[in-house]
Amino acid sequence: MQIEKRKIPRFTTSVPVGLRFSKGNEKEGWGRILNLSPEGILLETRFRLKVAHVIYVSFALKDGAKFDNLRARVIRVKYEEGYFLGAVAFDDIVDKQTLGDVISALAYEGGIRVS
Amino acid sequence: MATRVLLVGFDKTENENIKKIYGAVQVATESLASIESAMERIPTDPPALVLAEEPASLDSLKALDLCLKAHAPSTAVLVTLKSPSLNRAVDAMRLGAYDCLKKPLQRFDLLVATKRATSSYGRSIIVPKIVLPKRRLPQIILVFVCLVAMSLGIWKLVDRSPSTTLSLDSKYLSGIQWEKRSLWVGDWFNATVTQFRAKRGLTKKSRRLITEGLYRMKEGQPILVCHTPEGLFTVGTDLQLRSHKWDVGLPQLQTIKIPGTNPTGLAWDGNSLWSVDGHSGFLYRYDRFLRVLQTERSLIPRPEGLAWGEGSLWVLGSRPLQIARLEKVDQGYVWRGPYSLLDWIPLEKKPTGMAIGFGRLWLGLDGDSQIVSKSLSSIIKAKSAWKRAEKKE
Repeated sequence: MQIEKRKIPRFTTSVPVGLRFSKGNEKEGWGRILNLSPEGILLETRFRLKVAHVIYVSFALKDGAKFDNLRARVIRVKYEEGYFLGAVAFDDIVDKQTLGDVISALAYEGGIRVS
Repeated sequence: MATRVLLVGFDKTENENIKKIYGAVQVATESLASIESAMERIPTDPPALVLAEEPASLDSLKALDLCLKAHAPSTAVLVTLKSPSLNRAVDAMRLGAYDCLKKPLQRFDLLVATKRATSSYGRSIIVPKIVLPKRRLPQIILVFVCLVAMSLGIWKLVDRSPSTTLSLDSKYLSGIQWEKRSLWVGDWFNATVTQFRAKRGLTKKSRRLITEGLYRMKEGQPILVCHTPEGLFTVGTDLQLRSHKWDVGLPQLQTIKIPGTNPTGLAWDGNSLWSVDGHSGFLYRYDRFLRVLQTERSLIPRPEGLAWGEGSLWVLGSRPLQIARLEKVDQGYVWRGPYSLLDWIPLEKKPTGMAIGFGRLWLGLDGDSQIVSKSLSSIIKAKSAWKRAEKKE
C-alpha cells in the first residue's frame, strides 16, 4: 500500500491549458493538464518547455472556475516522443485567494487523488 | 477496419498528403467530406482516430464529441487549425479534441499527436518509435558556406596576378607602381607615363595586361612615377618632384626640388608620399604641399627602389640585392629584414624600378622590357629559414 507523502495532494485530470511563453521563438502554445494542485501542475504539450523558464498558464475547470495567465515556473521537463511533460510550479504572484479558488474548484472537479 | 484514421473535411491534396504520412507507418485512412457525414459513419464502423479540419462552427465539434461518447468512446479526435491561436486551440480541446495541430501539417507532429491521442484512449495504432526528423538547416548552411567558399575561391583565382613576368614593350622603364590592378609605368626616354590594367580571368592568358592610358609629359622625363588619389607624382631627370593635373600633357600643379641627389624611389602609403635617396640613404615623407615632414634612415645602404604594399614600405638595395620593410608601429616605424634576393636576379642586371602588387615583389631591370616578380612570402620565409639554420649552427 502506498502512502501519500506530499503535503498537498494532487488531482489527476485532463484539462486543456493555454500557455504563454516569456522566452523562445514560440509566444504561445497549448497543452493538457495531467494533474494539478494548488502548488502547480503537470502538463503535456508539443511546445518546447525549458527548465527554469517562466510561463503563463490559463485554464478553466468544469465548474466554470477560470484561471488566466497564472505566472508559473517550469521546474522539471521530460520529453516523450514529441511531447514535453512539464512540472510547473505557480510563482509567488499567485496569491492565497487564487490558491484557495483552485482548491475549492478541484473539490468541485471531483479529481482523483494521486497517491 | 478498426485501426484506421478518419480524415474529415480536408481537400483532395491534403487528403493525399495525410494518406501518404499514415501509409508510411501502415495506418489505413478513410476520407469524409464533413463532420455530419463522419457522425453517420462512426456508429457503423468506429475509427481509432478522427483527424478533422477545423470546422466553421465549433458546435459541430461538440456534436462530434457527443457522437463519439455514445458510439465510439475509445476514439480520439485531433483538430487541425488553419490559423492557430491559443484560444481556438483551447476551445477545440475543451470540445473534445485531444490536441490541435498547426497547418501545414508536419509529418512528425501528426504522427506523435496520433500516437499519443490514441494511446491515451487505450489504443495504439502506431507502434514504431517516432524520431524527430533531422533538421535541414545545418545542411542548408553547409551548402551555403560551400557555395560562398567556392565563389570566393573562384574570385581569388580570377583576381590573381596576370603572370609572374610581364612584357611592357619598353626598354626605358624608369618607374613602376602597382595600384590594385593598375600598373603605372614611367618611360624616361619617351617622357611618358603609361597606365596598364590587369584583366581578371580564370586562365593566365585571360589575365593579360591591357593599356588603359598613355600620357606624354610636356616637361621633364620621368625617372620615378607614383599615382595617388591626390594625383600623379613624378620625379624627372632634372630632380624635380612634380604633382600633375590629369590633362593632356600632364600639366604641373606643383614642383619642388627633391631632397637628395639621387632619388631612387617614390611611393604612396595611403596617406603620404614618400621618396628615397640612393646617395644619402634617407627616406622622406611629404605633406600635401610637398613639404618634408619626416626623414628616416634606410636600413639598407644605397637604396635603389621604394614601394608600398602589404601594409609596409619596402626598400630595395642592389649591392647585394635585398629588400627591407619599414612597418608602422603605434607612433613610430620599425625596420624588418633585410631579406636577401641574391639567387633571384643575375648580378649583372641592375634594377630600375620596384613595385609591390598581388603579394609579389616586381622589378624592372635595366635594358629589359619586361618586369619580373617573386612572391613576398617566399622571400620572407627564405629569411626565416636562413635564420633558423644559423641558430642551429
